Amino acid sequence: MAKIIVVTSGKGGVGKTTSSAAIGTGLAQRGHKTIIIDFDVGLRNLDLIMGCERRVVYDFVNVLNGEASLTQAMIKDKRIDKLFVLPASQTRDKDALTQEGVQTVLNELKENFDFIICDSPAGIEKGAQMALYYADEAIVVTNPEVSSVRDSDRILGILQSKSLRAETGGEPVKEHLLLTRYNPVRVDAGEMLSVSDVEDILAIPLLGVIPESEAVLKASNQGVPVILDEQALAGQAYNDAVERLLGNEVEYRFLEVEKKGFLKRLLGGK
Amino acid sequence: MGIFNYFRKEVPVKTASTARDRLQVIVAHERSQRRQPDYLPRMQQEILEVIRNTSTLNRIKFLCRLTIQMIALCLN
Repeated sequence: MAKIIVVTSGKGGVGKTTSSAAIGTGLAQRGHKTIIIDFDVGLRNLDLIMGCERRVVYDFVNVLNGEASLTQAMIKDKRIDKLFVLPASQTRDKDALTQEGVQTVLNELKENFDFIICDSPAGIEKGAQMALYYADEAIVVTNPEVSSVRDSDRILGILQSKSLRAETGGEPVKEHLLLTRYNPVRVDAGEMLSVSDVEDILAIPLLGVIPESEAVLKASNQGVPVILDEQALAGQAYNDAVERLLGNEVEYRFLEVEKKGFLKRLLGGK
Repeated sequence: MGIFNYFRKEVPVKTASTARDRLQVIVAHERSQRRQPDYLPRMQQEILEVIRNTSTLNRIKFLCRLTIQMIALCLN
């Protein structure tokens, strides 16, 4: 039986799609059959981040409307076995997603997958609520910045009151904090909220800290999930987060300012 | 950058602690609102109206006290 994980944040531009792509890819790399669903109807972008934009024929809404089967709409990743993407529709009809429709598709997917990653749109409107409604676990993507932290807290409130688990009085959705765009140099200078500041305010368990990295833009330029860039600190940090998601204990890295050695300083390396 | 700036060391302003303090206040406030029943804001407003119509109290002072009373009302 599959586990449904929503990647959400409230605020836009904090790295939901980047994180969905990275974590989904990481899970599939470890042998778990995974599908990443783009819930951002009208603003499809997961396909670009995953590098499969030219292979989109049918989308999520086509499946809901019975215009295509799930197998027709799912795109199999060319790099990683066991990894699939279900693209969002580009329709402007904001009522394209219905609760029953989403439930039917998720139930069908549950039979065949180990993990279903729901990439939520920004905001707290219908689309975002639909993405989190059936979730078993939630990854709340947050930047160390006031508006992002506040919006994350709002989305936590929605998870705790408007998800299926909350409405039916089941076990609450398991929440994880994923802090992205973290810059230890600025934290050290007192210019940026620290991991512990954000943890204290949101009071949910930490899944990972992704350092701000040039590799993220490079990866999205090329349509390669950043987790596949093993040289990049961000890629390594996502790998650690995936391990933690699977229940393994991994020590946190990249939280401190890297000390430059004598040679590095002399030669001016980064 | 002139040569004089080189000697004048800039003292960095630690804004992160300000951010943390502001967030703690606003998040706590919004969480307390989240738990309240739907009718509470309207009730607060109506009680305010009644008291405003029947008294000449300073409005701002009065608002603060009323919030505390509303919490007490919730607990009852």
